[in-house]
Amino acid sequence: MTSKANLRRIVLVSVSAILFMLVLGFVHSLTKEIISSNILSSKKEKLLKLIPKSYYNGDVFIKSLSVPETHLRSLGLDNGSDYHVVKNNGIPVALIIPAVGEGYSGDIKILVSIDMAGNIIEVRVTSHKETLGLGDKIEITKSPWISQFSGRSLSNTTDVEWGLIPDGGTFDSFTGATITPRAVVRQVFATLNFSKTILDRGYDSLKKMEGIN
Amino acid sequence: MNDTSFFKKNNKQLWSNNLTLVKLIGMTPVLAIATTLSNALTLGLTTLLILIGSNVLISLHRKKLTEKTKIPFAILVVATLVTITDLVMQAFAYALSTSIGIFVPLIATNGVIWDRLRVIAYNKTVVQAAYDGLVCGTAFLVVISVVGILRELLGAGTIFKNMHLIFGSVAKNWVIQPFGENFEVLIFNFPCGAFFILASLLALKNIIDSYLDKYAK
Repeated sequence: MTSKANLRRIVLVSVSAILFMLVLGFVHSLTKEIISSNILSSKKEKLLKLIPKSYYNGDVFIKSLSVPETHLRSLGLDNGSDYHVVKNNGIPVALIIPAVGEGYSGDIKILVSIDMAGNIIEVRVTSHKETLGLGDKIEITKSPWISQFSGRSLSNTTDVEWGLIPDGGTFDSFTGATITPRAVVRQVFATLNFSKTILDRGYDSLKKMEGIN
Repeated sequence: MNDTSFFKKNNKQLWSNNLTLVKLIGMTPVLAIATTLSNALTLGLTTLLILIGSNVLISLHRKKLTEKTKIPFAILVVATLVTITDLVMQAFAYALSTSIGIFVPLIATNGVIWDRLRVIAYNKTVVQAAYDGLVCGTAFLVVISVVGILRELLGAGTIFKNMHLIFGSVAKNWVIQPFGENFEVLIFNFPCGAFFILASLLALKNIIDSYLDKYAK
């Protein structure tokens, strides 16, 4: 008697589990492609925020490539991180390189866009845990501090100049925080060094790479 | 208990038995995510729909459920509904789903839903369960929206920010900044600030109740 009742319970729960699984599978198969294209286009949109409109006029493709292992350490990235090549009508116009710096209270994640001549286009902080009101001046919405990197390159700023003014470099610091801007400057410098190794490989090797939509 | 008395009693969930303001159930989303009205509305509406759905589905099968099977079955129902909602939102309202993030899947742990399943869905008819879902979901929606409006006003200095994520591009210029451009009180963007607001709402409700009591006498 009890075993019969038990059996009924097991059947009810397992049958409904299978039914719900089928429903979920159906919804998943309907939405899978839309979701992945949503993720791709939002990623593309985020990256294109670092490239001014004047850099492209037609079809923009972004090709994501994994950062070589030898550079992961200097950029502070995890295994499997990507850098991006932005192409306009098939011609590479810019690189977007991520980096992670060690801030005052955790990781500061930045993205740096660099043109084909090795000049920085823009630097943006994508996430950080710095003190509100002090270290958060690295955000473009809080302070224009981060825009001082635009136009800098390895040729117009020497290696020793890549530091804050108090440290003997050429970059402004801001009141109330030293560790935060120092980490950002160091990582921007690291992305430029990495971009040099890519750009030195030549224009053609970048041109051959296929783009994603 | 006949039908009309059930519905009458159930309406108390809106004010005098309000789950969030009286029983303090379902506070997590209110504290964590209701930083803007658009977030609050989205989470409130999805919770309302999932609550009605799971109440109805479980009430439909209530006679087949025993003491031992009712919890696994309820978990199946709620998890399925929440996952469907999450997938659909990611597919058709991607910006909205990223602004709420993990809190859509976390609806599966919302105390409001589990309280209603325990009290209503296992024992009441489908119509009663659906009505209860509507009432309790609406009560939750109202509370989370009020908290959302207040937190957005104090924390970001705006009203109707990001409403275009819900209502389309028509709502793009709905944003009002009553205190000027740079107004923000940081604490209200954090859960601790939400505690203050929720506590103030509780106090306000108690004041109103005591006035109503006096008036009734």
